[in-house]
Amino acid sequence: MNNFKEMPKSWAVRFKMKCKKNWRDWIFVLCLTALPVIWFAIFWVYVNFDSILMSFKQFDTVTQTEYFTLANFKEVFLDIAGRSSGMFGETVLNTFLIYATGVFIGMPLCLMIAFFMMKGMPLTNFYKVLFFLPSMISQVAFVYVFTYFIGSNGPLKEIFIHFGGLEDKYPVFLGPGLAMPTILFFGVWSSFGYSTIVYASTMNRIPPELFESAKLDGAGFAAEFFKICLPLVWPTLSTFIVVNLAGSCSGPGVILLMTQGSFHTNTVGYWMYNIVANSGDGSRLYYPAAFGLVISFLLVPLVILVRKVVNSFWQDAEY
Amino acid sequence: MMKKKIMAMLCCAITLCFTATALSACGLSTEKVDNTPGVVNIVMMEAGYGTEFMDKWIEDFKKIPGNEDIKFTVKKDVQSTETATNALLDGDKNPYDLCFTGDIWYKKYVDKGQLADISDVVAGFDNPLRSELNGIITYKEKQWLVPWAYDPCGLIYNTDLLPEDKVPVTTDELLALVSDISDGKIESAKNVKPFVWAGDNAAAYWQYVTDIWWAQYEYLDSEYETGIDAYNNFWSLNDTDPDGYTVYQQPGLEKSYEVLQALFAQKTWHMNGSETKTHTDAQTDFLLNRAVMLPCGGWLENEMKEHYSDKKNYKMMKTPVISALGKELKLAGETATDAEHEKKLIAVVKAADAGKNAETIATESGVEKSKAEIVIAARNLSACIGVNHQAWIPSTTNALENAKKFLTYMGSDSAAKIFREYSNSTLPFEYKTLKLTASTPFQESMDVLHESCNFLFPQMLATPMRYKAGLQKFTNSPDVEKKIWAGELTAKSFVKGEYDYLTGKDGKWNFYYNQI
Amino acid sequence: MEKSGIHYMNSKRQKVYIWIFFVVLTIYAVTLVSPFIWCAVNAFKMEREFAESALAFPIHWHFDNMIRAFRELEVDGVNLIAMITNSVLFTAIHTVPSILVPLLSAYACSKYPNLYTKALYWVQLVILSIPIVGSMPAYYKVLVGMGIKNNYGLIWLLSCSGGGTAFFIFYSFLKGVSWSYAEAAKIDGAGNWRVLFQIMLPMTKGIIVAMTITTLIGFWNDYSGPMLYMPDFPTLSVGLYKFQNLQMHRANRPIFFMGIVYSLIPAFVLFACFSKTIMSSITIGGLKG
Repeated sequence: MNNFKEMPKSWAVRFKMKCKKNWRDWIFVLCLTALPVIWFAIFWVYVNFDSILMSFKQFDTVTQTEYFTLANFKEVFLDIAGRSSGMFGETVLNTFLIYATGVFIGMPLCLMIAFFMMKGMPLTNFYKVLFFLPSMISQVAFVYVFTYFIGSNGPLKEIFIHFGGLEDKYPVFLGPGLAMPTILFFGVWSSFGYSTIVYASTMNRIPPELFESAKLDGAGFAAEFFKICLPLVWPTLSTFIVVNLAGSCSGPGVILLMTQGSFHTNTVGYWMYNIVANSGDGSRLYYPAAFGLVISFLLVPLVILVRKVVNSFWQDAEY
Repeated sequence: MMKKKIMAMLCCAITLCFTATALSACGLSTEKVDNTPGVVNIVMMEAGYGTEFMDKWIEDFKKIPGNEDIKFTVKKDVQSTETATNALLDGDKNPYDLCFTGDIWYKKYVDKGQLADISDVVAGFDNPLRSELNGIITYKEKQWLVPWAYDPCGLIYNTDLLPEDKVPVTTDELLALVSDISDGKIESAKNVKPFVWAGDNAAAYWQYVTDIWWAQYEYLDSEYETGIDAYNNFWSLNDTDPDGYTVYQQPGLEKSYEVLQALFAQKTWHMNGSETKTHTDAQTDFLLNRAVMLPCGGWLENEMKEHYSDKKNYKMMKTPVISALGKELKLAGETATDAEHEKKLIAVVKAADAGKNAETIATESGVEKSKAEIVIAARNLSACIGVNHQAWIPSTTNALENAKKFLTYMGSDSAAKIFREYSNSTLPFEYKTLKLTASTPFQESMDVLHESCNFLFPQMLATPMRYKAGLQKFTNSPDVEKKIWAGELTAKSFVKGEYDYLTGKDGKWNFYYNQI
Repeated sequence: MEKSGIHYMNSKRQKVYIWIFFVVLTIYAVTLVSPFIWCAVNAFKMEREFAESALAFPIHWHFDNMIRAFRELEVDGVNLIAMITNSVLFTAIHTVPSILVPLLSAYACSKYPNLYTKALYWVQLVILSIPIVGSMPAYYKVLVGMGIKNNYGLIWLLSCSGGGTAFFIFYSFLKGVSWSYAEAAKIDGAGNWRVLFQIMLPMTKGIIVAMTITTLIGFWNDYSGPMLYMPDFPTLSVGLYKFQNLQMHRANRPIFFMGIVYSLIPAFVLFACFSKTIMSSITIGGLKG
């Protein structure tokens, strides 16, 4: 009797065997998933629960105790209503601008270039390597090289003056009026190359027969791009759109390195990071918690909505 | 395969070069603390004044008989304030015995018993501490820290670009000078900008100037005896006054920022892009003769000496007197015009600079004696770094006696000479006989300020509302200078914003007042 | 297999378009590379020379700046070597759980489908796609409260979410791996662990390497995280940031640029050694069908 399974057994013995097998599998699965579950419990459930609680609290420095209050939300709504010292309008607008620039300007540009790379642009392989490299280096290095280069003590200014420009007319890129556009430009410029090669590599996996048959049908570049490429690379793009929206409010981004929020460049992520990083004894984290909670209430439905919308495009496109 | 081999070899070569370079730079070691009782472990600020003076102090201190065997370790730390105050949280494990840091808002640590009482050190100095500091370092009738580095701060000007007779003595003269420089009317300053400043990380240096204008104007404020009182009371929020928030309505505050606003409104008043320049950029531009004036402090010379030791062509001017003072005082008489008041003010200020007293000035210029006294007092005000540099001893030290001995040494003549030689700076003592020599025109100009001026400086530790509850100088718009430059604020709206923060709808005054 | 630069028979008009975009791309490439070349060249100047002209080539090339960078680029008593060491430690300590934990949980979810693993899958999806913005203050409080701040022994806990894009990439990959090998092994008496380590994991070697390199690069370059919860152990990125901010008393920008050049070297070396694997990692996922 080589095959244990074929042995006649009573249902009780079979059930016992199944439980024994299941019990082993369960232990195995629980071992594999123990850490993520613990992480989830502490750093997601507890943290978010505490964050929600924190948004309803304040700290009395005289009695050194916490107390419950709705004052934080009152402050947030005053901000939303446009109090002059409020951060809501500025941070939300700037965060949205950075996201929108990436999606509506950066993405189409990258797609176009990627399409032509696929179409036989010269030096494509060289550019693929070149454009990949910036994604491997520290953003700190990238930003500082950029800001020195365009700064008022940098080489770009000297080139400007050399070609007859007046010192007074050299744009102050990180000054009033130009700071946010410069940040938006940097966002597109620094990630342009990498995004392009991601899209190009994705497009390169489209079977060439599709393009050949399209050509036979008389399709030009535009038709190939909009009717073949775009639908088939849409999963990459839709992931980008949704994930970037979800992550738009987290992390200080380049603001921390470039302007530290001066000249109306605060974003939600930077503003929150700055408060936490400078909180010292943690007694001033209540308002940011409330602020963040309100942002979440706005952002979560937006992410779900955008996800639904982007996933509805080209659902049945396949090859 | 060949390509892979070449790449592998190249990578090894790069890694080896990198490692070799790194190892060749070894030898750099951060001194380790020695917890043996009696060894003085110092943590010191590594900043504009450098750290060389500390090594020389120790060397000199050990030459005094009885001190030869005292051992020291020195940790040089750019963030010494954070390092030292975080170490206080370690209790007995705190390795430091003597700390030379920035402002630690010491009273809250005294309340927790974390600082050692150094009243005996203060009483035992060879040369006493400057009198205006006694109140600041005294808490609960004892002394707890010794300020070090007591340099004036204000407007520094390039002596090659700006002739001495053109140095402005009033704010209207300053504005006119800026206009003249911009229009190319100053021959020596053609194609050069009037100002450079560090908007990126040192925009608050403007407060070395605006604070003085503010205090000068406050001599007119009947609420206070002198402008100095008004300024000091701003910091203490009038002590226990339940309406202490009114200090934010001191007229001098708005007037001082009106001058700044007028300056910023002038065309081409500064080097293009100054609002994004770092401290380093601005100082470098100034020393390379690209701008005539720079708001900065006495550390400039020492901080830039590594690369600019050949540059001696700059001085610190006395802060110009706010012209509104002359107009309000009606110096030229009840019916005179503003221009006449201004002319009279200039004459009185120049006479004061020449050393004349109020009586002589009153006789010579026809100005009332009391008004002349006000102008003289206003002229002789200067900002300084005050107690932003503090030396103190943690209460957990196991080298208390030696640490106190070393601190006491700080008050000696030789410590002063060493500090002058290696930091180009001055300690906050009133020297009985010592006359420090100035080796550069900059040093000379600062000595003039030391001798003639009353110093004003920020005092976050003046009241628990500030050092305990955290009420900053300007909470609503801490970056007021950048905002005024960007047109986001005016002097009026700035002052209103600060006042409303405390007293407006949802104002915070009660929260802060309950800290007392 | 990926083909690059498929050459079609483009019409003349289409060739013109291609050349126009080629010029645009070349200009972009020049703007991308020139600041770094400028930075590297100026790293060999003295500070005064740099201040006098940021554009000119060095009159004398100060190669000793390469050594001085190690001596002078110091923040809080931590020099460049220590910063690199911190970067290596930080990267290693975070990369291992960031790969291992999602891999194992993706394996459990894809190969042992039941209510529990399905729920776990949805939890990962929710964590990835639902943004909870205000939690950083509470997160920081937990870090400090658990003693994770400035603690090399505990920071790996932060990377044990088992989720993120790595989870979904491993999940899709493992879903496509046939279970028949495992069944055969189980028939021969192999347990779950043996199947995992001796059969399934070797099949995923390629994707593990690709994900590891991508994750490693991400952690090497991270600066906001270490700045928040490892402030006493500055990594290279944090060190550069702090040095730039604390240049209050050190006017020595060429030395700072040399530090930037050094921060780029590990990335280039890594790329040179693993270029194929790294380049292949960018195509993981993303195409319909």
